[in-house]
This record gives sequence, C-alpha cells and structure tokens, in this order.
Amino acid sequence: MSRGATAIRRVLRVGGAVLVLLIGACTAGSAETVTVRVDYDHDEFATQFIRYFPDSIQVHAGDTVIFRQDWTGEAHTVTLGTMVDEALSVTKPLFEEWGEVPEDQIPPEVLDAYFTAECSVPVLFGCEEEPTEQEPTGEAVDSDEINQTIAQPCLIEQGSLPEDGAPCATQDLGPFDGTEAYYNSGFIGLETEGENIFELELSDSIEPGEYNIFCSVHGSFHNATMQVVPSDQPIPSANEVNLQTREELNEVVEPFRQVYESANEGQFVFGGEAFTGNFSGLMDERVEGLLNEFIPETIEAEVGEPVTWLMFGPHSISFDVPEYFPIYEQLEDGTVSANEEVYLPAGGAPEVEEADSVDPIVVDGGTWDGTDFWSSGVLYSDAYVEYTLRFSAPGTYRYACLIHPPMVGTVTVTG
Amino acid sequence: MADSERPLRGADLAFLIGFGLYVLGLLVVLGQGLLAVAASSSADLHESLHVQGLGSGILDRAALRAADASHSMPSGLQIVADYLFSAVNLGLAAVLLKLRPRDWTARLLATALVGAAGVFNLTSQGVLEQLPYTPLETLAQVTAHVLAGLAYVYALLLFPDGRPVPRWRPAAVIPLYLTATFGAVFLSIRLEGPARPATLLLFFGLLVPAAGAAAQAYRIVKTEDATGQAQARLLFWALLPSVGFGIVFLVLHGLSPATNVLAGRHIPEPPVALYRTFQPAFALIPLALFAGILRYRLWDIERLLNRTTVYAIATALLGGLYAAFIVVAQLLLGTVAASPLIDSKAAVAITTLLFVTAFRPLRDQVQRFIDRRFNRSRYDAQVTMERFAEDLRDVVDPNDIVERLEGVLTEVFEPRHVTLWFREVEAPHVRGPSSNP
Repeated sequence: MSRGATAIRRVLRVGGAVLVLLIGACTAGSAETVTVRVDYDHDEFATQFIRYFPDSIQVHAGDTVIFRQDWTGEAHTVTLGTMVDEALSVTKPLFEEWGEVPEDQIPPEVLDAYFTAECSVPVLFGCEEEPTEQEPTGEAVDSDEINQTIAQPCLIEQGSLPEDGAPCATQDLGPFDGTEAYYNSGFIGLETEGENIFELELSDSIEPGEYNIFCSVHGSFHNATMQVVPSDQPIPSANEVNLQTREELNEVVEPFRQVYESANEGQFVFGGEAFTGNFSGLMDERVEGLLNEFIPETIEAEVGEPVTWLMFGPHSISFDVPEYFPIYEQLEDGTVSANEEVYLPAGGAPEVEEADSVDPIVVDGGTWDGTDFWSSGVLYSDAYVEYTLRFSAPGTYRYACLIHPPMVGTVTVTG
Repeated sequence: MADSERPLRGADLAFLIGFGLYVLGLLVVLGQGLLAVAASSSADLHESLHVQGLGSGILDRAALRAADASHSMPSGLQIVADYLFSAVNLGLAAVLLKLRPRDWTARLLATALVGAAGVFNLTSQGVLEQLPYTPLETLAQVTAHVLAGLAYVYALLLFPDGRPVPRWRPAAVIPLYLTATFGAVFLSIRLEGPARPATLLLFFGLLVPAAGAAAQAYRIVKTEDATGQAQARLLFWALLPSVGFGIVFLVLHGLSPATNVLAGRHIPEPPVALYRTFQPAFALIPLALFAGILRYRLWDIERLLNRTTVYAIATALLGGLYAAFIVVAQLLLGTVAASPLIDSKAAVAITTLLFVTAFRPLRDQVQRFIDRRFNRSRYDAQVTMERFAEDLRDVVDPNDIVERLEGVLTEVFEPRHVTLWFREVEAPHVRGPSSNP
C-alpha cells in the first residue's frame, strides 16, 4: 500500500472521529433546553398566532427556555415577574370564564375587574377600558405612543415601573430567579431574516413553583405557564415538548385550514355572514390569529375593470413595494419606533377617514397606472373592509401587504 | 516517481480535508432534497420532520426545511433529472480524483463538478430556500458558491494541460485572473434573498461557460498540437449551448428572474424555467470532459475503467454465487429460519470467509478474461514480456538488448516516446528518444 493511500485513510479516520464528536456536541445537552414557539407561520399557508406553543412547560432551576419567533409581521414579548403573576391571577380565570362571550354581553363589573388587573402592567394593545377611537389611515400606531418599557428589555427587581412608558434603567436581564417584579424581553427581534430568539435563563436559585408569562403587546390572554419543578423530579424531554407543541399547533391550524380551503373555492364565512370574491387575509372566531394570504393568489382583470378585495384583519394592498421593512424599527439609541410608512396611503391612494373601525369600511381606491409605489395604507375593521381598485395599463403586477411579509399576490391585467 | 505515488504534502492534506467537508456539505444538501421528496409522499414522515424541526440545532433546521418544502415538490421526472445530473457530476468528480489525485487541474474540475451537482439540483435548492439563512448558513453557502464558481472557471481555463490561457507573461495573466476572481467573489457574496437561485444560475450557467468557451477557443487557435486542438474543440462545443441559452434568456427576459420585485420577503419561488433550460445545457460539460478524457486517453482512464469492470464482474459473480448458495441451502434444508445451518453464526462466518477468500483468485481470472477478450494488447503484452525475458538469456550484445527493450516497451506500454538511460562509470550513455507513431 502506498504511503499516500495510508495517509488518506488516516485523514478519513480522523475526519470521521471529528465528525462524530461534532454531531455529539450539536445534539448534547438538549434536555436542559426547552424551546417555546412564539407565534407561528404555517408551511402551507401564511399565518400568525397570538399564542405561545406549548402554553405550559416544565423546567428545572438552571435550565434555559428558548423563545423562538417566526417573524410574521407581528411583534411579541416574553414578560414575567411578580407583577405579571398578580395581574394574571385575576385575568386568566376571567378570560377562561368569559372569553367566548361577546363583549357587550359581559357584566360591567367583570370587564372592570379584568381591565384593572390587565392595566396594572403595561400592555401595548388591549389595555383598553374605553373603546378605541376611530382613527384615520396612517395614525393607527404613532411612534410616540410606543411604550418603551414594553418595547425594550426591562428589569425591575423591586418597586414600580417607569412612568409614561419610559425605558427601564436596567436592561441587562440576567438569569430569572422568580423574585423580580418585572422582567421583560422587549420586542423579540424585528428581523425578517434569520432567527428571532429570546433566551430565558433560569437562575439556579429559582424556587419551584408556577410562573406566568405573557406578551406585553397583546395582553394577558396571550400567556403561558412555566412550572419549575424540583431537580429530583423528571420533566418532559425536548422531544416530548416538541410533540406537545406540534399537537397544539395542529389544533389551532385546523380551523384555518378549513377557511383556507373554503376561500380557495370562493366562499368564506365570518361572523355568521357568507362572503364571496377576492380575499385579503382571513380570520376565524375560534383562533387568536390571522391567515395572511391573498386568495386567489392570482387575479385576472381587464384594463379599467374594478377589482375588489374583502379584507379581514389589518392589511394593506400595495403595489411596486419597496424592500420589506418591519412595522417597528430600533433606533441607534435603543428606542423602538413605528415605521409610519407602512400605515400611510401612497401613490395617490385616498386617505380613509375611519381606517380602524368596528363597522364595515368601503373604499374606492381609484385607479393605478402600473408605475411607482402605490399603497392603500393599513385598513382594519372588526367586520371587514371592501377595497376596490382599477388598473389603467395591462401588465402582470405583484402586490403585497406591507405588514405581513409572506402575504403576496399577483394581478394580471389584460388590454 | 509517478505523481500518484509521491508522499502527501501539507497542501494535499489541506485539499483532502477541505474537499471532504465540501462533499459532506453537498451530501447534506442533496439529502435534504431526498428527505423532502420522501416527506411529500409520507404524512408520518412529514409530521415527524415538523416535530424534529421545532428544535434548535442544525439538523432540526434541515428537518424543518425538508418538511416545509415537501408541499411544493417538482414533478417526479424533474426530481429524477435533478439527481441524475448530480450523480453524473459527482461520479465524474470521483473518477477524476481517482485518476489524478495529485493533479490540481483534476482537483479543480472535481471541486467544480461537486459544486455544480448542488447548484443545478432544483429539488434540493428549493428545500434550502425554504428558511432564511442564519449567518453561519450564509457563510457556508457563500463559501461553497465562491469555491465552486472559481473552481469551474479556473478548471475550464486550465484544462487539460494545466497551463493558463491566454499565454501571456505572468505579469499580465495574474492581474487578469485576480480581477476575474474578485469579480466572482463579489458576485457570489451579493447573492441573497429569493433572487439567489436565479442569479446563481446565471452566474454558473452563463458567465462560467462563457469564460470557459473563450479559453478553449483560444486553445483551438493557439495550440498547434492536433490532439490538443481536438480536446479544446470538444469542450468548446459543449460549453457553447450554455452560453447561447444564457444570451437568449437574457435578451428575452432581461434580468427579471434574478431581480426580486418583492425584496426582503422570504418567498421561495424557484426559477423553474431557468433551471430546466440551463441544467441540460450544463450537463453537456461533464459529459464532454468525460468523452474527451476517454477519447484521448487522458490521465490513464483505461486503467480505471478496466479495474472498475473487473471488480464489478467479480463482485457480481460472487454475489450471485452467494445468493444461489442461499437458495440451494433453503431448498435442501428448509426455510431460512428453520435451518440450523443458516441460523448458525459459525456457518455464516465460515461461508463468508470462503467467499472473501475466493474473491482475489476470481478477480485475477476475470482480469485475465477481460484482457484476453477486450484488451488484447495488454494480454499480448504479457506474452511479449514473457518472450522477451526468455530471449534475454541468449542475447549478449548490449545494443541488441537496447533495441529489443525499446521494441518491447513500445509494444507493451504504447508510450509517446522512449528514453533509456544507462549508468556508466566514465560517461552516461543516452539512447533515444524514438518516436512512436
């Protein structure tokens, strides 16, 4: 055997051993790390969920919980602490009892108790004792209104929260030991590429017991429970947690699958009313989330022919869009700011007086000539938005929702 | 000393390690594609991959990619075309390295072919594009693409003799090559987002063949050797369809397949038409290389083919014999499970040992048979050598021995020329060279 062949075999042997070690290193230690999904973008149709998956986990002191978020266009936080535990001790039972009942049928004292507890910790949306005022397009979220206590990492060991939504003095979170008054991740990343992750390190000294987690963007109905168990008691393996996650995901995805298939066949039922036509996003009363799809994906029209979309959920219809940018951005000084360009009409689209309403909104968007950026602005109604647009030039036009990155469609216009 | 027998140097080891990792990466990429294909026809596998994909490791991301991609698989025919293309490129890369393990032109070609096996496999590229890349994945991707692109360009510029074209002075050639290198690296790094597959394809499918075709055209014009011209002509014509398709595609469609109108959104939309146009055209390149190597007996390919044939036949014969033995044993002794002979570990060990021992004699027999039937010159050569050894007993004149030796070497090895060196005490005597038509 030549020396060359011997050396090659030696290299292969060493390489194999290194590979085995690498694989071992990559897979080792997973028992001490639990992964929780924050939000979820489904692989067959674009979705967003105001949920943690799984919504209850068991861990040991010293473990790490990885909160992994699919960027669906929606920001979330992971917020814990004694203030959160107190608030959720009131809101969770009330939500479980009254969550399915329409708001106008809930006794005022229940609503009062709920919102008093809810508003004892800062919440971006949902901490609303009074109905939201109807606001014109482009003013749905104002940069100045973004609570920096929520949007940026915040640690309050003891004492009260900063006033007027100011950022916290301590943003270096460190391991969570369960005694902190307020422990907030801030918005988990604002990335469109790569990984949006928040790693919750648990202190070795955390006492066994139940700890509440909630999202400061959406309110206490978006919550999860973390059970810290004594180290001599077993906890589910990483694979068992993944199985539980998948089971919960399949459960909430199923209603969306039904409405997705139905809408692709031309019909969508929402609020007891049947709709037909072109859909921009779908919702379902059974799911806290959105189905972010344009259905059908391709619309065919003739020049001058009105094309109408029925919009469910907060969306925009935008052509010749700029490169995607998230609805929030972090400035150099750490301040989280809203990208108002997302919300504003552009390219000559009309401003809408009531862009965020409980009643149906009907808008005639006018005509687009097929050139330059054009956007309806973000429109939302608790019912639906009916938006009509005409095209003055033939062509194949890709369009998108400026909030939700996977939400894209095509309009083919013929002469 | 033959090139393949010199000891390994540091650069050889570095190449081996790097190439091994490169191939490993490619196999992971191709494996993900096959996993997605399997998941598209198995709901259980699809679900298992999704569960696995909820984890945080590299393998978990691979599982998630395969599960997500399983909903948008190409047709069966396209999948077969993709993997056939990859197999041809990988196979030729293996042949080249086997033939010329220390030759840098062969190494460059092998690296290029491995890269092409991944880049032009739409099934696996579609799987990769399912998830946005992490920084580490981006680094791996960019490195692989830069390596593959540069290797292809350089290999086509250097093939077959390893001498760079144009034949300018180094002071002029080096800046030219450096410029091309920086251009390729820059382009590869710029590739990002959903436009990546299309841009990559235009880079590989148009720029690389164009550079290669230009280099081979230069060789056709500048090389006086007829064989060299024929080799260059073969490769030139193989490269031309890719260049032609690339130009026609650009004229008809502009850069639209490589320009993402929805930039910043992760929407996997593989450019199917572009792939299906370029893949067959690009497949001509490894085929032409292989044909060229075979036709012009470059790099001793006959030896490899001969050995492959011999080993394949010997293995098939023994395998068949072993299978026949099992069948006969079953017929004679009942079912496998009930047979004490088959159940006995000692019996299995002895049988296996017997067949292993029989392999070498059988291989030699097959070798002789192949040489006698299909490689007559080698068989005759053996006879000639034996006759020469016998003749030497009766010949005493040194000049006569030299003449006979020249004749025998020419007959047996078919060299281009023969040079005999004699070591003498007073002065070395050189005989030859003599041409062998």
